[in-house]
Amino acid sequence: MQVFKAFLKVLKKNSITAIVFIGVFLLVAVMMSANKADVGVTVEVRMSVFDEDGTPESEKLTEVLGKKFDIKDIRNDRETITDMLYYESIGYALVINKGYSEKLAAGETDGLFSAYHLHSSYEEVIAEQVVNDYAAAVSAYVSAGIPLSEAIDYAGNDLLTETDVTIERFDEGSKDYPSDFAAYFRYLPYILISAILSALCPVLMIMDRKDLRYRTNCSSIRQNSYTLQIFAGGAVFVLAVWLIFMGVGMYLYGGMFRGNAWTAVLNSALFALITAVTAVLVASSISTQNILTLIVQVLGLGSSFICGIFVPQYALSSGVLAVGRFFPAYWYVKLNDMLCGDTLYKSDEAAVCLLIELGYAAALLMITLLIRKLRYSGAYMMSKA
Amino acid sequence: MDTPVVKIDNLVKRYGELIALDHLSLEIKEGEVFGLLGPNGSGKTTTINCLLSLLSFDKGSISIFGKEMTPVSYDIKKDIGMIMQNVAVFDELTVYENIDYFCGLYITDKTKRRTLVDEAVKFVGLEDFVKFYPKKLSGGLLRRLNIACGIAHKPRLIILDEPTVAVDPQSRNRILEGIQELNREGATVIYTSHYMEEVEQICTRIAIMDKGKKIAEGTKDELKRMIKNTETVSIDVIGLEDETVSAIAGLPHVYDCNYDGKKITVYCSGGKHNLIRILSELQKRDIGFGRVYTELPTLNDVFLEITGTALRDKEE
Amino acid sequence: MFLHNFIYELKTAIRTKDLVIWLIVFPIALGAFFKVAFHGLYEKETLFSTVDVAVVDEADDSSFRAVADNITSGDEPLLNVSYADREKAMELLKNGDVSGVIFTGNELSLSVTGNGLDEEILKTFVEQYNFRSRIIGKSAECGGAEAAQKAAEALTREVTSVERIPLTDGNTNNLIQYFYNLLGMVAMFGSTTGLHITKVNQANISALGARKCCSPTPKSVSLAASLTASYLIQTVCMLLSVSFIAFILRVDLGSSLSVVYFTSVLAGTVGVSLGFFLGSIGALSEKAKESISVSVSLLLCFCSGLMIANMRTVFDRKLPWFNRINPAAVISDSYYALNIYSGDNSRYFRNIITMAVITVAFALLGFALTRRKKYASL
Repeated sequence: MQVFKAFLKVLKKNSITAIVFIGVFLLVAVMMSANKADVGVTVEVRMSVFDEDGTPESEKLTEVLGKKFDIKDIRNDRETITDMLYYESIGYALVINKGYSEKLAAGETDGLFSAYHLHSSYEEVIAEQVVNDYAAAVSAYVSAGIPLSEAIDYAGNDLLTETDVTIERFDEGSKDYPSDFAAYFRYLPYILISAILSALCPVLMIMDRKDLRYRTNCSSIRQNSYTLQIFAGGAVFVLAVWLIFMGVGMYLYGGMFRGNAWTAVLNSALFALITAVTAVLVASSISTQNILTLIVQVLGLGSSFICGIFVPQYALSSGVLAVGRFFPAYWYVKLNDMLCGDTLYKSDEAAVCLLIELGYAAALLMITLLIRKLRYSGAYMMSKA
Repeated sequence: MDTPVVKIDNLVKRYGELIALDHLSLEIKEGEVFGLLGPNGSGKTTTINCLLSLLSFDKGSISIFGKEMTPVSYDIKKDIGMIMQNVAVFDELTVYENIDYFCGLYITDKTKRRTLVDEAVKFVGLEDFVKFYPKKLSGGLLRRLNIACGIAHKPRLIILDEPTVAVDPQSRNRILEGIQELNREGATVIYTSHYMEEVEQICTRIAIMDKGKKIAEGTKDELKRMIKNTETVSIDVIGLEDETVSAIAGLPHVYDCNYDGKKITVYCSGGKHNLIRILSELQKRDIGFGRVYTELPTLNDVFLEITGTALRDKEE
Repeated sequence: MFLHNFIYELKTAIRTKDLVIWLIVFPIALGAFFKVAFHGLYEKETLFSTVDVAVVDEADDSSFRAVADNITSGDEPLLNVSYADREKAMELLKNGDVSGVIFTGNELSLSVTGNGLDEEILKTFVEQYNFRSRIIGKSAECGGAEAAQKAAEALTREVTSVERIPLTDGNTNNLIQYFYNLLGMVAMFGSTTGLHITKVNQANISALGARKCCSPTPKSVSLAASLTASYLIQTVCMLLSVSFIAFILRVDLGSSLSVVYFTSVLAGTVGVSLGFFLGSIGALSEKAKESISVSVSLLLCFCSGLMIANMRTVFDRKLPWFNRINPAAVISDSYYALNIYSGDNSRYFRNIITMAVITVAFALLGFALTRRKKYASL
């Protein structure tokens, strides 16, 4: 096990590099999961209200809207409003125009409000509908002869009356693995690829340095044994890193994992295995460390975007998903989405995802072994000397 | 004018508890090929790096061409050529481009520089390799390129720090001859090495260092005169009796004698015709002998006698 | 001497094939990935689209059916309604074929599986329907049938109480922010080029650095030449990246492409200067510097929203000053300001000045740290 021991010693010598990468990506993972925000998906409508009328009627409306939606207090300047709408921190920016209460009393509805418009988003549609409804309700009550002060009260109450909405849970298991927590595991492929490849590949490249390989090739150790010991060393490192991430995950979970969360852990373990093999493959394929970061980010970011990590799978077009299927991260995310209840859980599909991931690991292993055999056999190395 | 080209006075350099240079003082005159000889870790490279103002030191002073040497002494630096122990060339530039680049750091005139670069290429014998990249060169050729980069601008003072490490004999001879030629052209040379044969071959004056100290200094003859041993006689002979060995040990000018059953080694101090006396003693006793050879003392003997260990032992 | 050093620095940089190729291939590859991933996403996710719903009409509510028929007509109808029995409807909901199930009765009720936007739309529709029913009921309660009649008539009138104020003429597709951030990332990865400068100029890092330090060329000249050459290399990378994104991927980066090019050139200098500064920190080993340079660049890009778009706004809310100094955020904000605030360039100029200050500050710090000196050890 000389090669394995040497690997660990080299790893120890390069521990600062590893610690920096693992630390940074751990921080990124925690920040990502704390701010789970899928593109375009929001839980409720967020809006800002700018009251230029300043009357009891306008204040009453603001109060009603505050009970119905999530009102964000932001600076009333065009730049701030534009930024907030663009980055979807708010979905709607409503202005209660001056003269609002007078028009209401007169039964008029035109020109009561203004709204800053960037694009016709879901939130804009919903919020605008509600505002129009309120105006329509007040107008209707006033038309029916009800005094304004009572009309706005009735309209407000009507708007706030809860509708009977039942949220059906077809998969009870996802209770143990809520969607909010699942975000941590969802981003894990990108984190694992970036952290592990960045930390492990330099060590692997040192072990595969030409002069060291020449010397090793002269020894009696078999090529396969050498490679397997390298894999073993890499696996130890990856296991340690994975355990760190699971530990942090447990802390965020609030205790020992339960139910579907354990399947998510298994899912992540398989992906960590894939990452370990990928690290050996990448290290065996490139000759300089200069380009390692760039390759890691193309692999990590690229696959993350088309496999449903940063952009949910349901939002991706079928063409994109067809390409994404070729990446192991696609199957990882698919299973993760099922486990947390974002998509319908089917046990046979879940098993398929796990098996496919295992298949990827095996396939990548075969490819890596082949490449290493070709690249590091004596004749090949001599021809490249 | 007797101002030394290089004057190092009472130099002290520490790395924490370790004293790398221990009150070292040296003077190198113009036109000398000055050798710094010592085992690995004796402080040769540290001395050179301090001399070039690359390393800070704790005590002492250094002057070159009569002026104090600092990192911004550009007027001094333009007359110095440095050949580092590690090959310092750009992998991305060809042989010609590397020499041109480094020469260009000293010589701004393009026409003059072109001439100097061509001369440097010829000097080191790399005419056939000007378009090669360093990765394609053998160790010896790489070292020659390293030298060319350091001397192309024809400096007054040339410092070579172990330039022949891992070099083939042909390249080594070429390098040593080249240094002597540079010296004949007027350059002062500082040459550091742990190979005593090289230092003996080319250096006019030698300082031997050990553990950061200068333990001896002088020409090679002066150094050899410092030690007891002036001649070592070795004779292949079998079956010598103790009485005979004692008799030989008692001969005039013999101060030590060893017999290992196959060869007798006799150490003589001073005197002439020591060999004849020893052979006569054997003939007198009617003892036949095989090969006979006599050696004059080497710098290794000097080092051994002064420090108690051999130069080579230290390397191992 | 400057020119001599500059020319040779360019030669060595261009001949470091691996690095140059990847600095060019990297944005192309990622840009292509983004384009593929975002294909149709803006229309699908941010912009409104019709919601599928199943209706279980056990109460045989004709007035509801009339409303439903009305709402499913038109070019971009609010809902796409299909009628089914309870069991079938729940099956459709379970399989994700519909976003919700509406049950008729005294008041409408709704079953959904989550809290997404489609569900919110359905909830709003049901609420509206119930809402209108209540208005008419209340009016009848207060003023009798006549009042209810008047209220119903009032409710039939189309109400458009909101006047929209358009904020920009620019491209409001917020997914181009990912491309802005990608350009920011390419710029930040210029730090690897900057790191290389100190490697060949400092005696305690390489033999080449030691050799250069022994030469009479002032270090400031040598460093300036190296820095200039690195700026030029990074400029080429940035220009190629912008061109690829704009002309091959056909991403609308905003109206003024020439200014986008200028911004990108400046952004490239920020990354190189950052790398130069990091490389000048003497206490760290070369490997440590490389890992810090890469991880810091990635962290800054993450904070500017490269992976999760709204990270930027999180920092805007909680640590607004950070976005003002994070080079990656400043770079992507420059592109954003150019696109969205095309009439008012003050924000854009503010970012440009910030970038220039960051570049100069890091460069000067780098010079200060690598000024001619001796080293304690080599």
